Amino acid sequence: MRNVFALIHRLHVLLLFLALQVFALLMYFRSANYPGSVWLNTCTDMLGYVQERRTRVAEYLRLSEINEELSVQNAALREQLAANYTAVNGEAFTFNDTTYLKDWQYRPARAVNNSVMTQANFITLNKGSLAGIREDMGVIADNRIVGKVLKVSPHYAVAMSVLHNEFTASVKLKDTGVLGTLFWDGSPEYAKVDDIPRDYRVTVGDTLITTGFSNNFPAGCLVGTIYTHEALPEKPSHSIVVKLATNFRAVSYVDVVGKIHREEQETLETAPQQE
Amino acid sequence: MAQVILRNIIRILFVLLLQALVVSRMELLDGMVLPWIYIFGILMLPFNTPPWLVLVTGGAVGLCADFFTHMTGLHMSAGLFLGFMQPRIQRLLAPREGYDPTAGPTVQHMGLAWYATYASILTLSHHLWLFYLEVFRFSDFFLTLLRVLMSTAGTVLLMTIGQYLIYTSKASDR
Repeated sequence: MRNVFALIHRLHVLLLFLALQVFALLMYFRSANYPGSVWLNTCTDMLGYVQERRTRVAEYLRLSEINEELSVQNAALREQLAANYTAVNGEAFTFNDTTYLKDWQYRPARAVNNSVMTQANFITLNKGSLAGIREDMGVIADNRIVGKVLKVSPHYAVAMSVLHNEFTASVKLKDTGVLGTLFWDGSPEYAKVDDIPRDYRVTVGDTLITTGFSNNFPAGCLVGTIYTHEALPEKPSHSIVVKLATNFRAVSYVDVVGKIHREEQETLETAPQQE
Repeated sequence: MAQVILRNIIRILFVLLLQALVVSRMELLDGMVLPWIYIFGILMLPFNTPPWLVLVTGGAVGLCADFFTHMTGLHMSAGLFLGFMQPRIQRLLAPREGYDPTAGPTVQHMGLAWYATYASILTLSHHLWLFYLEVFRFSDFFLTLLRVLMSTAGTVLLMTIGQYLIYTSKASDR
């Protein structure tokens, strides 16, 4: 018995190391799909506050660049104003068209923290549940995909960037409408697309957009353009590398998009079938 | 004694903040160099710190790093490994007459060559653990290895510069 105690005493650091290591690794692998979800919302709030302060200083230094981006966007939007159009037949028409149902709601937010260099990159946004942001909403900037919301606290939200090894999105080729799956594997400017069958032709430079099937992004958001593609004999689908349309290093003003009738749709989709 | 503990806690917190607010935002060579300087606080613990305390400190610092990188357990695991290795590497590199127990592993006390060896071995072991656990696959083995080596170089360089910035100005201090 005394020998056992002596052994434990001699190896106490090793035993402590192993015990804590098992704890850390369990925590790491159990949260692999949703890293960080064990941190409480208050922590997200606190961290978000610190990062917002930091961003204010950093953003100040590139204000002119941001202004330019915004004025380009403004000009594009202003072009679409009803006032720029003259009714062709000269008759009055009502703008409030009830034949359309609003499907997606856009909520503007700002990225207060953003990483591009690790294998699991996140973007912290300065709006949270009080602004109507919920988990699993999409994040886009200038109609290009940026990520999807992972967790929210009252004033902040943390989104999984496209540059995250767990990120996937349903995409299609703009010209032919062939569906594929977007995923990311490590480079800050490129991503990969799988599941596009080899029967379909793809060419370098083809545009990829979102499908709107996944309920994260509205249909038609820009994903990127095909950079390289090859058809490997052992695989039924093309191996495609996409140059991402978003500049992830400079993400700052974003829109969080949520589908208004999402719950209704999902309830219907998961409802048990009536006999 | 209390002063030494306080100084170490402040150093650890300061380096963690520096990591979160500045160093993690630096982008060097397209993301190939990613220095994790928060380990500085663990490397700088005085020689007479009991090994279990180094280990626990390593885990705690790693947990803080997890917090601001939105990970759970990744940095804690790497920090624990570093805390476990630190006393062993110190023993391995001990001079013949032993350490001055009240001194710390600084360039000033131990010389640049000793410090560079000490910091390189420990940083390399920490980064190897961290980067391979993060990607958790061996398909890009050499790419990850390159990232480890370049990041290690970056971390050691920053920590060595830090040593000169902090310690040479007040020569009597340890």
